[in-house]
Amino acid sequence: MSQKNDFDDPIDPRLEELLHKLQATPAREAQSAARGRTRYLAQLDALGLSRPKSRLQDFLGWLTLNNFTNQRSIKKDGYSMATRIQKIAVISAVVVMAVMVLLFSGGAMTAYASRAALPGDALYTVKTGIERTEVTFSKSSAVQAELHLQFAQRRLDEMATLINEGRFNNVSMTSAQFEYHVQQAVTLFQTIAAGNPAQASALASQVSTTLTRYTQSLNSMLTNVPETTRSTMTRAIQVSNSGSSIKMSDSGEVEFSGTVEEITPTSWTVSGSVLAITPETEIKGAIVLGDMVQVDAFTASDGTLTAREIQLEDEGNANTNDNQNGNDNGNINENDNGNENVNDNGNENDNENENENVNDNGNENDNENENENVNANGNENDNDNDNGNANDQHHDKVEFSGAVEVISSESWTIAGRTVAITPSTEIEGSIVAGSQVEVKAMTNADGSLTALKIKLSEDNEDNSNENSNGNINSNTNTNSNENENHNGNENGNENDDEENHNSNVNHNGNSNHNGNGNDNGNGDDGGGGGDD
Amino acid sequence: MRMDTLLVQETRTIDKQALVGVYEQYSPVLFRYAYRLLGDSDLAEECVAETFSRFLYVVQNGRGPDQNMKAYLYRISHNWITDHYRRKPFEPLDPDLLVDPHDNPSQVVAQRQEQERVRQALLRLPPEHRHVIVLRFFEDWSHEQIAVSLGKTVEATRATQHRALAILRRLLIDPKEEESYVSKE
Repeated sequence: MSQKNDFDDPIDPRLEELLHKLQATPAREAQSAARGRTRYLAQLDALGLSRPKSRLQDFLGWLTLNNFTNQRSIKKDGYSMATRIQKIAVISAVVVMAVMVLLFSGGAMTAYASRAALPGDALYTVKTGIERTEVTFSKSSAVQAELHLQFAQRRLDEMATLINEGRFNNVSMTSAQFEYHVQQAVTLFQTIAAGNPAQASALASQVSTTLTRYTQSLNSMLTNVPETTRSTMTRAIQVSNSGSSIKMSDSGEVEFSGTVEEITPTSWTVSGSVLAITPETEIKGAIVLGDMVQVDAFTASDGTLTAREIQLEDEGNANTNDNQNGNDNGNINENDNGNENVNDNGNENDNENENENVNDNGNENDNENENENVNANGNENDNDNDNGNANDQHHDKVEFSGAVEVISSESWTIAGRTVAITPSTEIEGSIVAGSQVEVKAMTNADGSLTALKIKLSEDNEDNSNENSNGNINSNTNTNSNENENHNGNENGNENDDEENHNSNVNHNGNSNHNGNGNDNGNGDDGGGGGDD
Repeated sequence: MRMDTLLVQETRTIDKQALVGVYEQYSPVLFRYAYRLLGDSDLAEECVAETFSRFLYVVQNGRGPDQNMKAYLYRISHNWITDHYRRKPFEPLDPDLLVDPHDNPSQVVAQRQEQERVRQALLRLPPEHRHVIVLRFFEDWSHEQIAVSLGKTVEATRATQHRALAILRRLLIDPKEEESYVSKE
């Protein structure tokens, strides 16, 4: 024992020596100590305490209890920084040792025992706690992503067991945790894509393959859970499915598909992934919440995604084909996959070509082509060309000359031939009965003549009128109906009826481009497809 | 969050394993503390047992240390010792113990007597004075820790120590002056 510090009063050395005589104490008697300990433990047992905290938490709590004193007093009294640093160092060292001890002794046993724990079990928190620790201590994002995929697999296994055991109450929570791990894996992948596209590209296939498998597992479980649990699982399936579509483009962009969950002016959320929207972002189609979309995005250095293009996803996997192929070739579409092809693409070609040619020859050409091409299925073009050509004088023109014999208001008789006079008939010169005239007329269907032009003959000595019948009948009726039916429904029905060829028969020569391409991976070749 | 609030929460939620840890860590030092003031191993064990019994009682009732754990346990022991001497007032110092130990024939006996003489001098101090001296000189606590333990300022703790040493000096070095300084408690 010595002088405590500079701030203490000097102590009388004789007193200090006397006090020192009490410093030594006898060794504690083992039996007495053991009795005291037993007594204490018995009292402790009588309390019936629960075990609310983990051992690690307790230990850390103890470090707090035993090593820190009132911080306010420390500051106030100028407690030396060196001492504080020393204490912190000691604490850190002890924490590390404690973690090691827990991991490799009792903690390891608990961890081992917790491996089979299911949600709702006492040791389940130990299991998930260890998982979190593993992620925390992983330095690389790629390793973390792989860990999250592993943990997602564990959640799937747990769900399967819970369902088998009828413990449906915990399925939703486990499903939500599965979703969390998948989201984390995808987010980490996006982070990697920003910094290391090559690594991300390699990881993409692993993520995609794994999540495809997970999606299949979830789908198989879905039918075995109560209705109340399905919504959570359905969402997990969507997230997993979205993640399984992830891939890296050659340009280093991230591509995936998913469900639109939120739309704001500056960002969209697609299956949990937040996408920044810029003026350069191309948004194709009228997309609303809940739509399945394909996303093409690039990753910023901070890991955030910026959408380059968002478009509605082909509904090829929706398995609801409204394609009713009415084929004129008599083939009947019978698909083994049971899809009812009702192609209701709503193409309506309502062409109205109105040719209203007014000919100066008096023919009334009033062509009305009404092409009402209602293409109910794209394969049957029934164009009704109803050319209402009122041009009822297709007839030969007649020219002759002679003396005018009779003149009336409706008809003249010239050289013994009667020609009808219409308001359109041009009469040149002062023609009277007996005048020599030249007649241009057309023959009607009934053989009668209608005068188009009557003029005095040039050789009429008394008549210097010049008959210049320069009417040009240019009735050009151009009916160019080009019905281009671009039926872009990719319904994906793979008809294994090889004779099922849709041959479009155009009754009116309209070019009918029916792009009804059946291109879909819904194969009927076994259980892999979704259309069975 | 204030430290004492945190400590209360920690204690209230602590589990059995942790409470065993408390005993393992502090029962040896509390035994030494008690022995120095009681001078008897059995009494010191009893003090330790009672200290932890009281500690469990407050934990069970949802209370706990309002300072750090170490100071809290020392305080319980200190109070138990104080109560012990209240129930069984210490004997007045044997005049023989106040004489020069060199006068005794046996060195061992002399040592024992000397220890008892110092102990009894300590026991004659006011409880808080004694608490400061024991923690400061035997348990090697800092003034800051003692201040926290007593809920006082460091300056007040220093003043207490100064007065306690003055009393002890008069009790042990100049016994003739001891009458005016002995605690009436």
